[in-house]
Amino acid sequence: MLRLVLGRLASFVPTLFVASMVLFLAVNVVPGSAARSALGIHATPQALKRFEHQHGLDRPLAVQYVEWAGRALRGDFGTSFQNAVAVGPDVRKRIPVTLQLAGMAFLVAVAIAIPLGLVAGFRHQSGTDGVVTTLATLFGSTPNFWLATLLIYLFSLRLGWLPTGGYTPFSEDPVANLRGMLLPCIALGVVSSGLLIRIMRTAVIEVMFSNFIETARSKGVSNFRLLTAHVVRNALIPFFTVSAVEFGFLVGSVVIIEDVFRIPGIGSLVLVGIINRDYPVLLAAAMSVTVIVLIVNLLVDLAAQVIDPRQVHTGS
Amino acid sequence: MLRRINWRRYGLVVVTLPVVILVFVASAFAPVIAPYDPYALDVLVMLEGPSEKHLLGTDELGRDILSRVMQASRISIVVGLVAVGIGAFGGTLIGLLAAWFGGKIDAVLMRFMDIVFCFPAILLAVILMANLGTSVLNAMLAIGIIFIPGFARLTRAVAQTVQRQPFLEAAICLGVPGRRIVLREILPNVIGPVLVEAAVAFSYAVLLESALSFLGLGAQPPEPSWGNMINTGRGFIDQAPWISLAPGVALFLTVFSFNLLGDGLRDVLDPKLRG
Amino acid sequence: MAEGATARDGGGAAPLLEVVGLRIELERRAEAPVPIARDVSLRVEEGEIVGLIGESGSGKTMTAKSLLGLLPERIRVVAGRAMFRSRDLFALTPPQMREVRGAEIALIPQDALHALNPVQVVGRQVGEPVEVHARRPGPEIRELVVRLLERVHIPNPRARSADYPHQFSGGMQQRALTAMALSMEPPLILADEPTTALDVTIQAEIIALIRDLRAQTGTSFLFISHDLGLVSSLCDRIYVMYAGEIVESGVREEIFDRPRHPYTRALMGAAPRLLGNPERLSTIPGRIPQPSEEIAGCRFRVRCPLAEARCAEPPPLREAARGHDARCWLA
Repeated sequence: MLRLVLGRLASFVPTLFVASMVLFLAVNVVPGSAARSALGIHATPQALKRFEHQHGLDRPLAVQYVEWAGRALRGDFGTSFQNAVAVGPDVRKRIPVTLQLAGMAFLVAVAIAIPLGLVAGFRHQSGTDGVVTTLATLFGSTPNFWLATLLIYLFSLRLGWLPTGGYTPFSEDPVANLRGMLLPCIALGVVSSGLLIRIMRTAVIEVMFSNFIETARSKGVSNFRLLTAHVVRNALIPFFTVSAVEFGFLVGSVVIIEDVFRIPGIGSLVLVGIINRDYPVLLAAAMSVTVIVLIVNLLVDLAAQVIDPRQVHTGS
Repeated sequence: MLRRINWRRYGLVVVTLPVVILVFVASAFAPVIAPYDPYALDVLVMLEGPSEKHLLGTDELGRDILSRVMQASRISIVVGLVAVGIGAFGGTLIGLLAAWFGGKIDAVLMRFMDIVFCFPAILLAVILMANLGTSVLNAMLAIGIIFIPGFARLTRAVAQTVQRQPFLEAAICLGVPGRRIVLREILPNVIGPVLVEAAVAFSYAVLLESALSFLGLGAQPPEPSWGNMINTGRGFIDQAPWISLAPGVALFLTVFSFNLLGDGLRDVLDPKLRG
Repeated sequence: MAEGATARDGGGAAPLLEVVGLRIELERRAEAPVPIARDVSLRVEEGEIVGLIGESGSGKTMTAKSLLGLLPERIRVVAGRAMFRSRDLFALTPPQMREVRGAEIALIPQDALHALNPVQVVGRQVGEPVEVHARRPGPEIRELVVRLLERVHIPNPRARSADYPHQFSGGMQQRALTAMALSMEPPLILADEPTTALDVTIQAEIIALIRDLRAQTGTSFLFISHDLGLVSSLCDRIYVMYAGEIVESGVREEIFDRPRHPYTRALMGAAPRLLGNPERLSTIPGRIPQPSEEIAGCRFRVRCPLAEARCAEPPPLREAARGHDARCWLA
């Protein structure tokens, strides 16, 4: 088990490095644009030069990357071009907000996907299966920002049940926090459930064709027991491994949903960084999103292995 | 015996193809069939609900929403086509190269693809857009780049299966030039799955473009796109919900029918893949 | 259960299981259905081990599965009955069938290595029939499982019952599956090629185990195999199946010493008298016809070295000697 965790960690570190390089490249695709956007279009060439020199932007990209990565490893993400404030503390304050949003949204998605995928896979190629599969495509085809807009219109403006946006820390007022999170989580979760339903359905179908299902049937177990004792746990192993990818998409969508609901998380910081062309902010925010995705992938992967006794016992 | 349509196999394509064609026709002939000029302001009819004159109502500047939704479909379709084209071309090329050469080239290419793949697509698109500058052209480029890894993985997987077939192994041993084998034998096998993926990718491209425009990073006003129309409508949602509703429905239906078309194509091309 | 008991008391005359005129078909979309088993009749007496032998694709496994209502999608029983303790198995409702499965008729499945749930401990799975049918308290079931595992010679059964299937060897998994089938002490066990996935020494072990169990408990077995050597060493009576039909049946000695059907003879000629090579049947020239192939007359005709003009007429299954039937004009 321990060896397994260490193995995953060993492949996690290089991935993180390459990912950070890709990100650094993406942010710096157009050289020189940082200074221009920070100082505005009327800045003199001298001012641009001075700004670039001051922020080390006139050096080769590789050097800039190494320096940035070195400082980032120590938790120092530099200072904002905009107001010269250190970026790190702001990022750290926003991470829990985004984690809560993404985590709860993923729970919503999983809570929809597991039962529906189970029914569809169990009644493979039946009418129920057709309805659920169509529903999955329907969910997955819904633009989340549009769904969010409709939800606000219906539940906040027409019915007045929930706030239109904003954020209250959980520690301050748990009820207000959850009321505020509900609509964003539904908007994200329902859309993500589209793919998750399909993943669960495929996993269940795979299990249903296994020999041990016939063994169980030959013992006279009921359909309910067949599902609970034999199908679910086996299907959850591939479900969690594959659904980790969808969690990545979900975290990405946070950029839009946080904007719609005015939630001060990492996603809205990405947008702030972009609108202000504030590269230290943008890099720090984007890197945190990436790290969150990678860590969650790692955790989900490990969780899937823990449910699977074949993985736990080998090597112990 | 009467030859009937095998609905299980062709049903989805038969049902969704007309919708897809309708979307294409509507966007191609938008300037001809749209009832109004999508840019024409009319202060006398600002924020009016659906009526006989304006079937889907008007926006905050009195522009006809139906005409704007039709005009906007052109951006979505073009972005979708170009982005999928970039992704499919680049991805297929990389996939074929990786499969053909194998070894180190394969390992490096695919490892890189994997890492790009695990980035949240929207995040990458947003960052690329921020640097390339907000325009429709850049949106196509950014979205197209994002699609490359998916197509590359798919192509490589198919190509590897084909390459392992005995007749190809024999051809390789006989010294048939590699380029000929890749183009004549492997590529045709790759096209089917790539087509299925393309239908799904197209719907995703339309979604991504509208998301970028929604955030103000794609098509810029007054040019209408479904994304920026929905965003504009948010400001007036209490008085005039139809401003957001109409483009949203158009966007949703387009994405939905392309996704179903992808499912349908999958059924037709390879019934075994049906989960 | 009361009903079953009276049937058993009813007399030694009625067999435990009697299948008459069974026809199984694969339904196809827009095409005529394909027969998988045609007019199969067989019986199993109390305490008897009956062999059902044939090449893969002969319909023997589907025949067995039909008895438990476990046929795959689109494969159906379309004619015949299977009288088991004065009830027709094919006429049972799904809940009634669930009562029979595992309790009155158990199955030892094919391919031991994939027949156990990989994420559940073996003991739980072995005790599941009891858990489902007898609803006894947990500790009692666990004790029973230990005794069962002991009976199939699993060393250190108490500890091993908490293991997962992947911690068991193939032979141990097969023995656990046998213990599972025994758990409710059913009068009939269907053993579907229980030894194919195993190597020869373990094969012999399982065969010895089945023989012992019959001696101890009087359980009847329907033993399905493609291995003539195995069947002849174990079974009291044998049915030979070819392309969906029973082509020969009789007591072991009759079939083994005086085979009447050219197919059975070919099987024996192809079978070295040693246990081993499971591929031995493939040495008969030609291949088993697809169920969908229309062959007029005797279905073995195309591969038969003795085929003659009258074989174009379908031969009936008729008595060739006392207690020995064959479906061949030449028998």
